[in-house]
Amino acid sequence: MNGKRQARRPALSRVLNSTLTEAATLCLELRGFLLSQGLTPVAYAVELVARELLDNAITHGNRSLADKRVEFRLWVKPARVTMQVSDEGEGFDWRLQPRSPGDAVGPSGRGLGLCFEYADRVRFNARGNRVTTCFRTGRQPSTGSGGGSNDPLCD
Amino acid sequence: MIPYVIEQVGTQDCVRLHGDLTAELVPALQAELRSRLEKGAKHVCFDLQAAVMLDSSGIGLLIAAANSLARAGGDLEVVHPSPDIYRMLQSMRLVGRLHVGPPSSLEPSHG
Repeated sequence: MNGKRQARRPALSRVLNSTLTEAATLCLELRGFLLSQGLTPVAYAVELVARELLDNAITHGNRSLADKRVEFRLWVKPARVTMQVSDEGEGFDWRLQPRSPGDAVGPSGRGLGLCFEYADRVRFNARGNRVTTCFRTGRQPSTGSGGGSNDPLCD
Repeated sequence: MIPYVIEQVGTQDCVRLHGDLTAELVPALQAELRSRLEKGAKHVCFDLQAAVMLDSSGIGLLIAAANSLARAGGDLEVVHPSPDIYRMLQSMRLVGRLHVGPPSSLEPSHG
């Protein structure tokens, strides 16, 4: 034991090109994975947030540039699902965005609000090009796991 | 698989989705709707029976279509949403604005 917290290996990990087609394919894979893991209660929320984050990463973060990639990672624990999306863009000031999807009036600007509404926790890195979200599954944590103490992403 | 078909039902253009209404589909559907509006379509219906997912891009399309139709003296309605989609539109206060019909199933998908 070196005393450092070991990051758990993701249950699902993908690197995408910056195309909505690849994002859509990943989201369908995610849907099947969540259902196969017995995570139906959170499947809609997790997939919806995944779609919004991936679309933002591709369209706004990477500006749909062919040489830019998006990284997707998903961790599954008994009581929690953690999802992380990263892009290669300059980042943005997420604090200036609407926190509720109902705040947007026109046809756009609801994506991030939906993420805040559907995820139990949303955390951005300082630059704003990596976002980590957490979803409570409603299941009991496994005994001896220490709850979230070994999860560096959603303490 | 063709992602959608548009059928004329009386005076209404009915867009029957064969899957999700999400960002990937929106540009093509937007162009199709614009063309129909230019040709005088006034009443449009979106049938979401086969849609598991509706994202913010799809919501944006519905809102834009509703606004355009309203300006032309027409209207838009959304029928057969899943319980998840209905709850989302309800939380966003869009059920009335988009004339959303009741969910296609009374069983909640999650607690």
